[in-house]
Amino acid sequence: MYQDYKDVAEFRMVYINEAHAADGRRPVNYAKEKGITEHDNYDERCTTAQMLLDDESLTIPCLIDGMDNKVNQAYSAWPDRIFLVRTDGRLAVAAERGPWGFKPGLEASIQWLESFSESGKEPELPQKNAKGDQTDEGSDQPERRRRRNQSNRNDQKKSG
Amino acid sequence: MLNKVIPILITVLLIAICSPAWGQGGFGEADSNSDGKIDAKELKKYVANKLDGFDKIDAMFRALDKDGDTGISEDEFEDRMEVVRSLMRSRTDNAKRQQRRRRSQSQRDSGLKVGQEAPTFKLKSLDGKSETDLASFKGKKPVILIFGSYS
Repeated sequence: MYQDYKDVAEFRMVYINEAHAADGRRPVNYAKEKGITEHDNYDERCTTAQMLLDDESLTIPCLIDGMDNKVNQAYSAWPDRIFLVRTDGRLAVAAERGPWGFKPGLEASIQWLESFSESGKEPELPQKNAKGDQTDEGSDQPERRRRRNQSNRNDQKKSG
Repeated sequence: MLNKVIPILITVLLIAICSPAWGQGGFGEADSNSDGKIDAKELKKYVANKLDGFDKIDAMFRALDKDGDTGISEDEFEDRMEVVRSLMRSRTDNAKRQQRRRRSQSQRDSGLKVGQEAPTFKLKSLDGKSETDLASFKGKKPVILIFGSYS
């Protein structure tokens, strides 16, 4: 997706605190193997982020959330989440948190970017329906649970 | 038959009285004259208050006596302890539990919705050489934000 649309939109990865650190509450095996622990300081967070970028050959510009986790909290982003911000500052895609929401969010973003790059116009925000709730483009039926990394890795590689 | 039932009921009641589900200071509440001891009258009053009359005892008995042979076997007792506990739980405890459940649900659904303003922020890049200010893209380009971590 990044390769396809990087001229049309700004992409930023925001690296936040670990989802399954080796010394965390629910560690995963590869975290233990790679020695990924809860970040004690900003430098450690940067090091782990760099490891991810290197191991997965990711080229998306990466930002590092401060140790105060403020941006993470502002976006309720943990463990992982995808958003699309329009040029007017409002959210066009606000996926559900975690692995279930990520793929639908990705797909919604691709659709949006496709439409935007073809027409040059940003898709309209969904209107409020009769009940007064806004439909959320980013959240479809939950996907089957997959490790975020796996699905993210596949999508990065697939769409460049 | 009665001989079997009464000790079991008393045990169950005593367990319930001592359990946290009955609120703070079960002893203090029961010891209404605060003389440091619960006498028979105080116990009757305390239990009656907690159980709102005998309906609950009947219901408790029926729930415990699964095979309806008007006697509660040890197996039936163990099986149905949870039903007894839930009958004895005060309404406020149930309300508190519901409130906690609703709160944790809202935490999972938390956050921003389509159409809302994206919170602005400024964060440094990984290489430390630049800073991204989300507000700077307003009016210029849409922004995709991907939050996550290695694990």
